Amino acid sequence: MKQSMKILFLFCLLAATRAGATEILVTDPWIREAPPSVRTLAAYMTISNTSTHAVGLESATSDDFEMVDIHRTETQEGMSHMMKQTGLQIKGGENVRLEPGGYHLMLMQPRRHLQADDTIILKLHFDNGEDISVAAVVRKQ
Amino acid sequence: MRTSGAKMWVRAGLFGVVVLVMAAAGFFFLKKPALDMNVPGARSLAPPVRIPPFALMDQRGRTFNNDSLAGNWTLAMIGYTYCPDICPTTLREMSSLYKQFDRPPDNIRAPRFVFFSVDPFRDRPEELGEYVGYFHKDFLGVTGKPEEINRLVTGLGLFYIYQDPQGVFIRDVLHKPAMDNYAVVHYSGLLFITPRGELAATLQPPLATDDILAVFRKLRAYYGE
Repeated sequence: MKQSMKILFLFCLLAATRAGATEILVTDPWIREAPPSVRTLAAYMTISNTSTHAVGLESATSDDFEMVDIHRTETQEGMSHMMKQTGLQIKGGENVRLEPGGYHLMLMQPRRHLQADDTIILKLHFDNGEDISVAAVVRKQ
Repeated sequence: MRTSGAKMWVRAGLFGVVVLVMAAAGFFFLKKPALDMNVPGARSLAPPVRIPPFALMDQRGRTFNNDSLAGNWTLAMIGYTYCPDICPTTLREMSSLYKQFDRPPDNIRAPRFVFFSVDPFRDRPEELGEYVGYFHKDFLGVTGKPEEINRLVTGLGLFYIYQDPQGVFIRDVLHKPAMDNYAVVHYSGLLFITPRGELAATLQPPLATDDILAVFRKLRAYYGE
C-alpha cells in the first residue's frame, strides 16, 4: 500500500510537472469502480487551461481499454442522453470539470478488471500538440 | 301543456344544480389535500398512475410482475449496465441510502429497490445480478422480453430509445441493434411506487439521499404504509 502510494505520488508529480511546464493542467483524475462484468466505465477529472487561448481535448487513449470516447451526459425533461463529443474546448484561463452527470471519458471494453486503488494511465491528446499522461485512481465512489 | 313542460324543465334544471352543488361539496370535503413535495426535482402524480400488467423476471430467474410490487413500497429506476455515467451515479446514491436502511433511522421499513433494465439484449440476468448486487445485496435487477419491458415503461408514461455510436436514434427497441456498442437514451428519474403498485412520484437527478428520504417520508405519510 505504502509503495503504491509512493508510485501514485510520483505519477501525480510527473503529470503535474509535465503539464505545468506547458499549458494544460489535469487534476484529480479518477475512475469509478464498477462490478467485474461491466464493459463501460467513466473517468472524471478537472482540466485547466493556463494559457490565454483556447485549447481543445481531441481524444484520449489508454492501454487498459480498447476504446476511449469523450462523452457528455445531458438530461432534458427527465431523459438522459450520452452525447459523443468530437472534442472538448477549454477557453484560455478556464477549467472544465469532467464529473458524474456531465462530461466524462467513456472507457470501453476494459482489458483487465479494475478495483479500487488501482491506477490507470490515460493519455490525453490536445490540439495544441500536447500529449498528457495522467494517472487516474480507481475509486469506489 | 306548454306551462307544465316549462315547469318540468325548471325542475330538471334545479335538480341538476342541486346535484352539481352536492358533487362540488363532496369533491371539496372528501378530496385529500394535494401533496406538496417541496423537494427540488420531485413531482407527485395525482392521481397515482396504475402500473399496467407486466411479467418480467429478476436476476435469479424468479417472476417479477405486478404482484411482486404489492405489500411494500418500491423505489425503482430504468437503465442498463453498459451505462457508464448516469446509472452508476444513481445506483451509488441508492447504495448510500440503503446503508441507512440497514440501520433504520426511525423504524422505517426499507422499500425494495428495483433496477429495470431497458437493454435485454446485453443485460442477461446473471450480469444484471452481479451489477446490482455490487451496489447492494438486496437490490433487484429485473429484465425480460423486449415487448414486456417496452409495455411496462411506456405504460408508466416513460420512454427509452437506442442510439448508435454516431448519435443516430434507433427507434426499434424490440430487436437487438445491428452494432454492439449502442447506447440507450432513457428516462433517468427515480420512481416511487406505492404498495398497491401505483407510480406515486418521481425525482430527477442529481439525487441526494436526504431528498430521496424526504420524498419517501412524505409519500408514506400521505398514502400510508
